[in-house]
Amino acid sequence: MRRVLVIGGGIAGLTAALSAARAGADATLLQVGQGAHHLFSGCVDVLTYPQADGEAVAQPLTALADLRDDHPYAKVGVEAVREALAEFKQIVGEQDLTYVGDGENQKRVLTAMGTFRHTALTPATMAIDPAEIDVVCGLAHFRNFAESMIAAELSRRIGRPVKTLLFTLEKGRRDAVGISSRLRREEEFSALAEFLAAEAKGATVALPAVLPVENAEAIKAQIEEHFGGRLVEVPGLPPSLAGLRLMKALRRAALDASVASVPNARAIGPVEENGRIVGINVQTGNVSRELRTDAIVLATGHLVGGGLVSARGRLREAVFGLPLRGWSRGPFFAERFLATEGHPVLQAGVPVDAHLHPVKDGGAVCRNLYACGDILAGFDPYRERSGGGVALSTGMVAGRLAARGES
Amino acid sequence: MERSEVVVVGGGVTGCGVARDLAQRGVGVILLEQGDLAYGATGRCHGLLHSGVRYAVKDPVAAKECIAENTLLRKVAPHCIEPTGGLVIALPGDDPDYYDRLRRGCEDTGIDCKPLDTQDALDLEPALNPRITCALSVPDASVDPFLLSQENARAAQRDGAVVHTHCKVVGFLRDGDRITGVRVVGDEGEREIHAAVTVLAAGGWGMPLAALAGVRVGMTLSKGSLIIMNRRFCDRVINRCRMPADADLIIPNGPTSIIGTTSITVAKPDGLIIEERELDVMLAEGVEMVPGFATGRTLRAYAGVRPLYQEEDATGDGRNISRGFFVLDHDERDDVPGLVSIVGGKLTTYRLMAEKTADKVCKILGVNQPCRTAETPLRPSKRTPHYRRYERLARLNETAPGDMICECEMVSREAIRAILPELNGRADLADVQHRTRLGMGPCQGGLCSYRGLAVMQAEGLVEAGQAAPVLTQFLDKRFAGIAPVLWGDQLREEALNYAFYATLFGLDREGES
Repeated sequence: MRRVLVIGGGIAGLTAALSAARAGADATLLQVGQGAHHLFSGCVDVLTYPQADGEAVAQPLTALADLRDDHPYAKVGVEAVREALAEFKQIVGEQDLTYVGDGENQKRVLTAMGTFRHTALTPATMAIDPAEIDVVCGLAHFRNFAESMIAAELSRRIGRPVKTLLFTLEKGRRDAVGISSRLRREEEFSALAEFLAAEAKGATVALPAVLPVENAEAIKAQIEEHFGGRLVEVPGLPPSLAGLRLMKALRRAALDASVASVPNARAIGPVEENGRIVGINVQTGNVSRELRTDAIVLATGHLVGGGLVSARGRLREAVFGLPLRGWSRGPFFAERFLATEGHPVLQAGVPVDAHLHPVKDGGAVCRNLYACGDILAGFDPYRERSGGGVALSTGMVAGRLAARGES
Repeated sequence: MERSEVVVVGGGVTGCGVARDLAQRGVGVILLEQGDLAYGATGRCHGLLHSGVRYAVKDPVAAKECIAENTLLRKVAPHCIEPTGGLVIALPGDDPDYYDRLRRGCEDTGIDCKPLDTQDALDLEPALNPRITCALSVPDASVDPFLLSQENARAAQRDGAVVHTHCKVVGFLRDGDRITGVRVVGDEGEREIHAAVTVLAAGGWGMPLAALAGVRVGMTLSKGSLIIMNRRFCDRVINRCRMPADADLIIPNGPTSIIGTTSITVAKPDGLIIEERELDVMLAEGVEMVPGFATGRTLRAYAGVRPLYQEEDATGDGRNISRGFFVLDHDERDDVPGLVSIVGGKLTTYRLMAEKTADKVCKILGVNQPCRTAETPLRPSKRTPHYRRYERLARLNETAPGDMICECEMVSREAIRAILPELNGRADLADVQHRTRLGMGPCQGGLCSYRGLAVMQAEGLVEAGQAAPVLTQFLDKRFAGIAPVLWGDQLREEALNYAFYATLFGLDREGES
């Protein structure tokens, strides 16, 4: 059985490991932390702003055709992206996590700033257009959700009044994870349902994204049934419960597909024999060891994920020291923090060929090394809002190619 | 028409101190500041309450003033000061003679300076370079310059003074040669403010302002740059035992450390640029004193201007000009009545500077009241020292555990609400930051900016449609200090902050007002 070692436990890495396993390989996932899902909204963005100076696109998949050749989407092709989105929905669906959308038309999601974000796939708990929201319900002493600000901004945008409510949970933890674990219990979520029945019967109610990691959709349905209205989760500052749900679903799917997982394992460099990479040196605590493999998928992320590390005036790929493209010298960031054009260092990444092999001087660095996700060159996951789609599609393709091996 | 006996131009610690002193003597005062309080050199200094040891060899007058004021401020403004104490350390290669001269200088100027065994010094401060060759303990301290300025302004207001921030002087009113007030531009447009005496306490901005009033005040503007590190390496102020030079001070400041400074003569107090070579020297010298310095994360770099008074044309190194201060009566000096300038000096001696300035103003006005700032506490009620973050945490945990808005600096929802009336209806998170330390810790506003905005909005300060622009403006402004030292883990942190505010909230697209 062909061995595939995936470095990185984010969406790209999990998808690559799953795809490799489903393609018949013996897949192992190395991860240091937990990926970055818990930091973000839980939505899967495919593409919103292909141009720094352009408007938001309404049809993400259609817009992929206009991207430059070195964009990761151009490497894998539109069909692979479409397939990856469908496969993702199916995979997490099997773990009772429903995503809505298909990438053809953009969805809108209300944020905790009161702004609208555009995205391709939304968790079912967020899948109500902001224009349909009647009430914004906050939680007392929960600091990451400003119900009055969100309602004021939303009301201005949709041109009709939006009511605010404040629900008080009994004494206990007031952070998102603490609240979400309390909402698992029936007496706690029924109290919320009672409150909404009294204050917002039949209304469409926006709530911070604090539904539990487990059974969120079922609990949401029970609350909705009780007050006769609809709930919609609003993404905000981390930790993101919707992100945690996504992580959990992908991890379970990986387990179901017999992916071996090695936690707290930092890949520190390749084991080379005759110019080929035959394994990875891995460090866990103070112990290092060699893990032998036939193929490697690098899915360590960008700066946030730890795939790229910087020092004063320098930027380096963390595991192999691979060549980077997109940034060479000069400031890492633009002069303005919230610059519409993004930041120079966020364009940097590992350039790859059509088979997702990292390249150096025009040729593949190694025929059994693949890269996927945020670490790729040729795109800016943040400015474009394309990180999710790139992770899923390049992860799927890299996993399959690594499992198949090359002639 | 707005009118008072005195108008004080400049809301740094000196101007706030002058306003407070005059108000306490019963004189009517209007204090004007172009930005927020402590906008200029005050808010961009190292936050060191000098023992005077730094000047003990070269500038004994300044040293004596420092130790006297240091002792006094600990009594009248204890809540603004963390009495950290300080060490003076020498490293191999430092001039051994300087040690003896320093000890003699301290004796002559009355600075309590005790020799320590080097091992004892290392036991006190384990992060120090183990190769230190000698150590002295001195009564340095860490001071919050923002709080000190605000507390002076608040004390002045309690005594009837009026404070206008974000109000810039653009001209002077005259009656013949006499200055009779100022013309200002604020949020409500341009207006006149009349006063019998106008006091310029504008630091580096004093030179152009004096010129606008038709008098010449010579100054050397000496830029000092500093770096904030994410860790509190030492609990004491660390001085290098050598002639004052670049980057020989490390000062604990809440959860962070500040290293500085440099000294480069500049032409203007605005638009200061931190040069790469300044960063080089600070990072290198920091590692000399504290070897673990290199493992810290550089949070920010900033620069302020020392407005050193010089009668002749500005030349030479700023370090060779006295740190003493001068009160200039422009009636006596330039035949321009109604105008007084306070120039030179240091944060540590701000109270003395204010006293001498107020003495001069009172003499002109014929007010016969003594200064009482040396014995009256700055705040009448007993208040927890500002630096005791754990006490703030304990209080917060008892009352409302979810209401910690800024974890790094332990700023509660209540603490923010309490200062909102001082904003006069302006929705500016920077003004909240200056008054509460929101966003000044290791995450540099990554999480608390949103929460702070939410508190302001809930209190009615943010109009619909303005939430995104207010937040964007604050984050962009904070970033100006982060950009010069952006690499390593701080770059990673900023990439993450950018991801929240741009990718999640869309502020890169919605931030324009």
